[in-house]
Amino acid sequence: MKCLVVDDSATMRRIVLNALKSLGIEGAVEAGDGKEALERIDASIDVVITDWNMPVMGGLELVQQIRANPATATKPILMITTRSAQDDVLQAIQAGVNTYVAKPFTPQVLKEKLDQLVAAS
Amino acid sequence: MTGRHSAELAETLSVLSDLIGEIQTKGLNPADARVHRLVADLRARPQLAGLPGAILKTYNEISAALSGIRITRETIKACALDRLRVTHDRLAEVSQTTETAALEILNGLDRSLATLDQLERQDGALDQGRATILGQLRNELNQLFNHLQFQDITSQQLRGVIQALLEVEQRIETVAVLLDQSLGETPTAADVLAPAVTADTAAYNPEATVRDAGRRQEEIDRAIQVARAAAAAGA
Repeated sequence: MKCLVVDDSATMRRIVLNALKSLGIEGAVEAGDGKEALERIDASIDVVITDWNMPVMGGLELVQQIRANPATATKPILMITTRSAQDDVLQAIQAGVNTYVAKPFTPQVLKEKLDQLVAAS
Repeated sequence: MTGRHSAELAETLSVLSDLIGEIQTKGLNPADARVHRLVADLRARPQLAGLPGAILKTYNEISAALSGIRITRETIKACALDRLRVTHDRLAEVSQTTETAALEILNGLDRSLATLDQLERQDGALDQGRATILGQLRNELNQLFNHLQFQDITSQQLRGVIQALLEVEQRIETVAVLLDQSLGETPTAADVLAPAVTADTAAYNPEATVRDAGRRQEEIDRAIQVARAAAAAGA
């Protein structure tokens, strides 16, 4: 599985990459905001893991752009964010997020959500 | 009213008040008929005679109030705004410092995990006890990785505080400008502060917290289940 990890925090990107590595998932690609993610996303990316609050282009807009592009519209998207209000969750699901993880997360929760994404796709 | 005009007015009122006082107490009886009539009028209307004195007293009190406003304005500029500016610069520095430190710790953890990988490769077929210990050590190091998520969360909390300070600074600046206007002064470009930080409020979540992650995840999962069930029912 090849993941695209999108977060403006370099610390968070390292933590997500390490969590993926501990689950046996290597070779992830990184991006610092939504705009950079759109430049890096291609057919080789199996799952997009994105934050919500980012400069330049936030996670919600990134998700909408991914869904609007026929080449990427069906890519599984997992959102990892500090925003956990019900309205936020529903807004993300409506935008096209497949599953949602609250920060701070554990590798166990990340594995559970990735397994759900793989099973659904 | 300029400083010169206000000084002249104060002097005029003072002279007039003194003159009226002399007329009342010393019983002046000037020859000029018009002055004579004025003196008679003033004697007949003591409230009118007291008017310049009352105006002078009010003028002095207003001057004292305006001086107080000037002092307040200077205090606001010198203390509150400068300190706010320093405070939110320092908070931004705290955020940067913790990010740098967290990345250094992550680098150390990466090296430790790489060393573990080396140990496991070198030893070939490990005895069970040793393998268990190395596995536990790997788990501990991975846990440390996860604990560093605090840095992202506290950074967002700090940005929320900085934004709040910015808003306080802008409100205080507005008060200072209003005080300037009440003094009849026009703020100069030097008096109007440029914003210290351009806040990108979409780039952080001021409500970010490390608390209750497990409960929040359960609520999120429930919300998603309900949303999907509703979507399926509607389809």
